[in-house]
Amino acid sequence: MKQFVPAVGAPQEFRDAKKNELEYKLVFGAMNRTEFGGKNGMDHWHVQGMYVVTPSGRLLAGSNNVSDPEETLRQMRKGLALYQQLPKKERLLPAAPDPKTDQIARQFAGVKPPEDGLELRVVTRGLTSKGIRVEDDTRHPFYYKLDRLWYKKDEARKLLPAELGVGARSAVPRPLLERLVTFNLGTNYEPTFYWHTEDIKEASLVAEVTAVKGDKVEVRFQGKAKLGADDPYVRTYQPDLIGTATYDQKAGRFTAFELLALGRHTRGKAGDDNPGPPATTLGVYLTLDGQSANDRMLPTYFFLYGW
Amino acid sequence: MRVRQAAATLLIFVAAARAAAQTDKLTPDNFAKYRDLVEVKQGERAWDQIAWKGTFFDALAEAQKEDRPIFFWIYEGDPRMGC
Repeated sequence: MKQFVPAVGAPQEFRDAKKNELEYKLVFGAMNRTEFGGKNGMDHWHVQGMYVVTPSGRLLAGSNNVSDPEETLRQMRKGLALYQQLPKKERLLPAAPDPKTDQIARQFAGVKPPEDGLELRVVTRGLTSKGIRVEDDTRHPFYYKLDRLWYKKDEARKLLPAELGVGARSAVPRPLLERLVTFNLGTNYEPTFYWHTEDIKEASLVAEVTAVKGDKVEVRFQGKAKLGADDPYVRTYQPDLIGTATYDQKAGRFTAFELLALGRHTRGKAGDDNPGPPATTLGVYLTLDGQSANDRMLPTYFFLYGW
Repeated sequence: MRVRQAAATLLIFVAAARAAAQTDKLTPDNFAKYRDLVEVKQGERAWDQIAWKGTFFDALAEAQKEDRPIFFWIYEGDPRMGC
């Protein structure tokens, strides 16, 4: 990978662009030469896959393949060989791109996690393999999905009882619980979509202080949820929730956090061709986010936070 | 159509209630077992060892400067998360 500059992108960024930016033209030109070119997808930016592209915007290799590492390696080697054969003036732009004029505007560019807030990494994974084919059903345990959940500093404090003494209990305030439930419990799982508030038939999460050791407050969480929707997809999810956390009163932030949701997920079959059984066991695990280059990313449904 | 879909939802709830008896209920005793099943395993993080540029433009600027090709992973939603 050191011979490349790796980058990720989402079609939605380009659908929203003005279309006269250099970045837009380069990516559109390259992607329009893939199997998704023209009416096959690029007329509405339906494109996905892994591709090798020159800075000048020439597509060299790649395909819509994210599950065959050998094929991906072949395409990378092919792309690298072609790149090295190209004259410099064909593989590079005539001048360095200008960030002021050449890049597309992104709605949440520059948005950072809340200062001293609670940043959680969310892992979603199905735990049922019987009757599920890894080839065509991402509910198979082979697959996992990631997301993020953010709480501001004052919101994070409200996850706990007002008085932090042993035995103190309180319910997580409804708006904060709803953010967790509607945007992260079973939302990154086929059929992938967030829940509407009215889909929450039942939801509860209680925090209880179990120990106070100097500035450190240890808590446990317990709760459950019952979710059901028929718009835009028929699905249900009924998890129990259990977790623990440590809150540093002096620092005003969580130093440890674990919350697990586990329960039965179902999706309707009426009118669709989805493979596999309608019911599976689904787990969602939340913990403190990391600090790597790929962490601290914008939550998928941040645009619904109302911040 | 909505009545039919609501009925379908109800039937699925009933089926789910019956099926739930076949799955462990989450407890403090089995928390670690299920957490470890859900959490990302060490061998599943190869993609995470790569410092992906978050935008094509950021990669373009570096690729132009370093004279290297761009390896572009495009997917609905950020590919590093979920779709």
